[in-house]
Amino acid sequence: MKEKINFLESRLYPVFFMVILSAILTLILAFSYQLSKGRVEMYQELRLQINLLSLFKSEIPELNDEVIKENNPETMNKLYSKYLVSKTLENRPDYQYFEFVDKGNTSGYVFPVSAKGLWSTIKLLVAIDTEFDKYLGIKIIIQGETPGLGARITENWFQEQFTGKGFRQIDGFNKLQLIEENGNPKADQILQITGATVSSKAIISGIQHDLEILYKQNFSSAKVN
Amino acid sequence: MNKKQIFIQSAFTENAIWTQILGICSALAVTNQMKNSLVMGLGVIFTLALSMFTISAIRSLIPSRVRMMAQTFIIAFYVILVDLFLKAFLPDISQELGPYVGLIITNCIIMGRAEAFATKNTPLDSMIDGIGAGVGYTLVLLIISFIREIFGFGAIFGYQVLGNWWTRWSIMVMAPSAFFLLAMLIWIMEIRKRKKG
Amino acid sequence: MEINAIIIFFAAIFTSNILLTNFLGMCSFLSVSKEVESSFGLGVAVFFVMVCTTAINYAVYHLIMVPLDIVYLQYIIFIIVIAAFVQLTEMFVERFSPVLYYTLGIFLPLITVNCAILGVSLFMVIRNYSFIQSIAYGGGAGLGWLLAILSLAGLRQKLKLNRVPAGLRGAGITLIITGIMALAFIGFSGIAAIQ
Repeated sequence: MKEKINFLESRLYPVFFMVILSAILTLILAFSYQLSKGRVEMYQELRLQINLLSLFKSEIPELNDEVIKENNPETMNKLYSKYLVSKTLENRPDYQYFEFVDKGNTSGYVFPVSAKGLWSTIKLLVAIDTEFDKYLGIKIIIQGETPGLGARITENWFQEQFTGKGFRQIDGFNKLQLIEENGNPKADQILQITGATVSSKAIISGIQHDLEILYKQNFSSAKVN
Repeated sequence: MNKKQIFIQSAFTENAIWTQILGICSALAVTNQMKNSLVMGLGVIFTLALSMFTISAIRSLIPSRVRMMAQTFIIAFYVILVDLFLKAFLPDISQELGPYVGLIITNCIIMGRAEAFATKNTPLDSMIDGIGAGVGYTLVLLIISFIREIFGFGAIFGYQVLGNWWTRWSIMVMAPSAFFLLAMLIWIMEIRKRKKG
Repeated sequence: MEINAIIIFFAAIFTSNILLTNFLGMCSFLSVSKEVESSFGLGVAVFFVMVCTTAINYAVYHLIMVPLDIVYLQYIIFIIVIAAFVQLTEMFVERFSPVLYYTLGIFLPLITVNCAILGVSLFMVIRNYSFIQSIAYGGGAGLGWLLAILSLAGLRQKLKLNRVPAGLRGAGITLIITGIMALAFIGFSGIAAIQ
């Protein structure tokens, strides 16, 4: 008994205690982390597939809102394998983009774009036709902008504005302009989010910048013009 | 004190938020929607209950010199478990809650209860105290978020209750409303307390 | 294309004030804001600790946690870094400047549990800031917190001469003032239009 009391009151004990405590807790956490990792990755894969497929919702007959809501990994995986091909660029092997293939024909590309927002790097997917003529749509995946203001860029009406807007022209590239939320947008104008100029602009500039580079470096030689 | 009394005391009579004004940090941030509040509240209840239990169970082994460190470690351990769980099974909510789950660790309520109660009572009593405190906390969150969601979005738990005729009160979506609503709640509870004697 | 670090800095002070918008750092905020002098002391201490710990945590995150795939332990590691840093600073200040210790040093233990300090590091990770951006964010958030607590202390000083309904005294009225300040700060969002 006396020996035990001495140890507990010794100067070594606190160190010993913390080390043992840390070791036990960290081990349990590491184990839990390994367990959850698989699920997290599977979930991310599913999200990516759903986002990619939704960009082409109008071209995919099997895809409607109910199917999307189901969140079924198998269904999504099947559709993904059927319609989308993952590719990388020759000069940038770590950059993954996607081709949309319908009945053997590639009719569109999807490029991940990182736009520098006010608070965060906004990650989005941009779908464009193979000639880079028109936007097919955008889908914002991750953003950390101000809730209630900049974060409103995820609202459907804002993202849907991009569908059909022109990009490449004969003498250069179409630069989209921002106008007030209550305005009437013309062909090359986008309604911004009121009170969130920076976030709105970030999306436009980010897309513009990345697409121009992609076109000039990787896709213009394929043009027949 | 029997178990029921312990629970009532920590959940209501000595409710951490409206009597001691503790733990508001992460509280206000998640009250924009009820489902966020509920998940946050459950996370806090889980962390509180198990932390209190664990700390109480090994209270005779914890050397006083590292008491704070050990308690923080144990609390952080359970918070990380909650975080991992959310990331794996409720990823959308995890993203909405953001860093506020991690901030449960610095939530003054947990440290306060651990010091005040867990170090001096049995594990089971401590756990009940923890659950009580967590429930009281969750209650406050739900009340505030109920008002914020109804007036700000016209919804309850994501279900639209008020149709499009309702103009959404933007202030309810933004930060200031949480401050005002919490102040109102404290005011009401103070008045009740004074009336009782 | 980089977000200008200066913009992050100013936005952290005004439009997205760590306290008035993100609700972090409330506990010590409510209790210490009764006196202007102590508010200033605490605010400065918070600023200092925020900038330093953000920088250190950035290094720890990118140089240690990511390569070793222990990002899930970030909560524990960040807190340990903060606690250790505060402890070291306290010992350092006590040793080399007793004057400084008596004015600012006493606040240091309060800071370790200040959610704002941990929150800033966590936000930095979530928003994927570069080193410069992290420093700008940490500095801006600290200054913003200082600004908020100083303003509140000043207001509460004035309030001592007025009658506040019994139920609201103390926490209630403080929260209402904070809410009004938060509202006012939203007006700053026009600033972010500078590009």
